[in-house]
Amino acid sequence: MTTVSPEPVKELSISIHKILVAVDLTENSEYTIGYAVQLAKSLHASIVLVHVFEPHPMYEFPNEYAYDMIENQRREFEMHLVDHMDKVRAAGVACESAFLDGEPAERITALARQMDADLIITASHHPTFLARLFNLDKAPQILHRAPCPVLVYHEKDA
Amino acid sequence: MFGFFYGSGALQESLIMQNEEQSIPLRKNGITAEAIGQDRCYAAKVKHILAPTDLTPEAHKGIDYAVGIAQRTGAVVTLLHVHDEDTTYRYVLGGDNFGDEDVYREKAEMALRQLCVDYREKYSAITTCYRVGVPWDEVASAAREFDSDLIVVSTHNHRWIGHLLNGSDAERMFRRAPCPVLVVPLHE
Repeated sequence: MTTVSPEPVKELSISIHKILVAVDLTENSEYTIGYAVQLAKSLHASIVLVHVFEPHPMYEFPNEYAYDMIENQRREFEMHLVDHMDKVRAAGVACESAFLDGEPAERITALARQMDADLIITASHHPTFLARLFNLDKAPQILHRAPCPVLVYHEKDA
Repeated sequence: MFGFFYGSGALQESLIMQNEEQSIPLRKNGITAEAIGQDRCYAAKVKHILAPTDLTPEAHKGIDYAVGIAQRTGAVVTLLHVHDEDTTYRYVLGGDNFGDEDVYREKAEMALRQLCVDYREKYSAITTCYRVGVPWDEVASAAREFDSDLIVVSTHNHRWIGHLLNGSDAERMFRRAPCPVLVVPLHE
């Protein structure tokens, strides 16, 4: 039963200038972005929107049609991301976007390290046991690899 | 039940009243571009921040963050300490052996109050809360009780806060927490 007596408080040195917002571009992403915009406004920070494109793995030998489909899907997601970026800019927050390919948690944390982000905001849509088993939930993975603070967003209970 | 709440409720209320002027009506499903342009749909104003602490110096980084965000958003910060009560221990000792716990409680509450006083030099709207129970349950129920908009925790592995963020416990916390969780790593 030891209680550590608190040390004297030093000057607060919280500087959040760059917020990296990782989205999967489902309809929930709008809420995540909305939250990020609100926070960025009060902190006077800028936002970088990131989406990592991860096509479903194909086990059979794919034909030309399948490649076309993936291409189309990719283009669609890219447009989505640009739409979101425009909306954030309309809301009055400086915003850039990055569209990456690969393993989401890996790429997002790598980008955060590269651009020296001060905060990563991401959402946890599948916080269930099975999702964890099948690796659907990226939030814990991002959390464990991140070089900076991570905000895991989910809708507030009513 | 076990919770003791220090600090003035009046202060909290008055601060919330101040914030209400700027508050935006709750958003519904379906956001249109116009709505975002007019800034109506974002009701995610941070009004209350819960900062769980295990009273170690390492946990101060998380509180620094919470207070830093509160300074800019005008939120109320509540410092929460949960005593991770070991029920087996209590059972073995018998019903009347609570001397240790009382001593712990006294010390912890003193430390919490001291911490609160120290941080009030930086930012005035800080309250404290002491609870007994299972940490992640208590953090979640406290967040629900205070209607928190954000939980700020820092990671280190000495005490229960570290365990909150290890493996499945982190996931359990995200699932139980009624609001977003901000995790501050110590290795910077």
